[in-house]
Amino acid sequence: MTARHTKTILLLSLLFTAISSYGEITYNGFLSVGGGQLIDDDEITSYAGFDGKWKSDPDTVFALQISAPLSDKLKGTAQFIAKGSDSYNVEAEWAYVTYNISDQWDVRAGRLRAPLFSYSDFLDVGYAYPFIRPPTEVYRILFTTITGVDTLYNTSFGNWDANFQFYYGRLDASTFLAGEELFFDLADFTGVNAVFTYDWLSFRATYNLAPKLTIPLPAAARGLLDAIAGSGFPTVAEALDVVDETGAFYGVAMNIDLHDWLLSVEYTEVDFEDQSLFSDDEAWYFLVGKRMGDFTYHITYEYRKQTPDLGFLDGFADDSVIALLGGLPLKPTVLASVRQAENNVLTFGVRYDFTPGASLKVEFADIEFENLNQDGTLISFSVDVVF
Amino acid sequence: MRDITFFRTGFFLKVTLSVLLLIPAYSAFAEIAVIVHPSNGTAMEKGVIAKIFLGKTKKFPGGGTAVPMNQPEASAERAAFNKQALNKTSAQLKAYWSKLVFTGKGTPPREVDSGEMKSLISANPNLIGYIDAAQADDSVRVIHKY
Repeated sequence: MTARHTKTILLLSLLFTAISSYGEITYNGFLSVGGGQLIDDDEITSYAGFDGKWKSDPDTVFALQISAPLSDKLKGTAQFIAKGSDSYNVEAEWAYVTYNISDQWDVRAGRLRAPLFSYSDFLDVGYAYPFIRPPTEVYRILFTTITGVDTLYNTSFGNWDANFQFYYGRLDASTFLAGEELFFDLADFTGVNAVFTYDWLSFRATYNLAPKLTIPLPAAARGLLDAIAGSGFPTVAEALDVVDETGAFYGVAMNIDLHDWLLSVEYTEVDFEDQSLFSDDEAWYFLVGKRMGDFTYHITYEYRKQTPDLGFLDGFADDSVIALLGGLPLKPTVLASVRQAENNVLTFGVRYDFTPGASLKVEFADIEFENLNQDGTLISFSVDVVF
Repeated sequence: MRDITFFRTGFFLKVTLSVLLLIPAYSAFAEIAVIVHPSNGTAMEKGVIAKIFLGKTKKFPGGGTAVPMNQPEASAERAAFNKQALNKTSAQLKAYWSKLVFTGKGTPPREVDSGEMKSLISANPNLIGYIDAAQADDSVRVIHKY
């Protein structure tokens, strides 16, 4: 926990305690303690944060949420979370005030999560879903916390409930890539999300737009693009770079929870306006589950495909070379740097609800990188608790 | 087809008979009464009760604000209500609420014990709760029994 975070947390807690003479402050929390290992790691050496040695960090999280009414229409909420995947740094991933316009309308402002996926809202709350972690191939966008506003509207049409969410904000996040810390800064990030629910059946659709998307590159990749541009192929370098581009993300999902049967399907797609190192990318999964008393068994199949449009290379001769990189051949070098993937994962899992508020999960996942002809098997478990 | 129906009828009769025989022993726990303030005259279907307890609506069909209250986690009444009125196990409900709580989209009903529930409801027209039907009296109005 850094000093800055400690200070923020203390301030927020004090603030809530001080102004909440209005009503009861509620505390809720969740935690997941996980562990896993790739048991046949000669081909795929790391996956979802795990590798060939037993590890606990990737699926371990602790979170505490404080919620305090500030007036009869206003409520403050902050969720502090420490994730093993982030060295247990305490982050306020959610920190917002909710203004309750009416029973149907809420407006929230602060740090919120962009609802890209079905499980985005409770991404870290392992207890809320049947698998140990949402499907890795589909839930591939790691940065979804925005600073901004959103509005939630719920209504019903006959026996159907409908929820609409619209958000607008700025996403800034940092990540380590090739040993370098890279900063993302996406302004005017906006999107809508609609969920329709009829008792056991629900449908969801979402559309999100980042109109000024710039993806920071580690020095090595930047050097490669500069060399390509300097060797007489500026259009190629430009095509590969993501600067002020429009990125779109959309998804549709269906969930069935009928008697003891569960079915979930989710399809998502990332589209960039122009070709880039991070090419267009689609991913989906389905889950079939069966509840038997306190046990829920599931089979989940995930699939992801990145299919780059390499049209920007068409105008160049096959024997073109990057002079500034000692004559590296242009086309193979570019092809190697453009992300291409065709991955699938088949998971068998069981969840045991051993007491209300706590569950134990065990999973076997068979991972295949089809385009690289690599296989791997991940075994993992988790204990998920809400309180 | 006829054989199956015949078998089912026979089976059904047997089950009904066994259940009837068992009722005297379990009646103290078997019946749950959903209660509101005596002045609350709204007629309510099972579906509306479930919507109120799942946080999907915050109003009675008549228009007043509806505030649901739950019995404690371990109570027999809570288990019976969850199963019969909401058609969910307590683990399923716990997961349902965790999806709403950690996104600020909802708060589960407040928990009070059965004696307190009756006295609170008898004093507040916005409240709705449930108790063992045998404990219901004139201080509250029973709108549904399970």
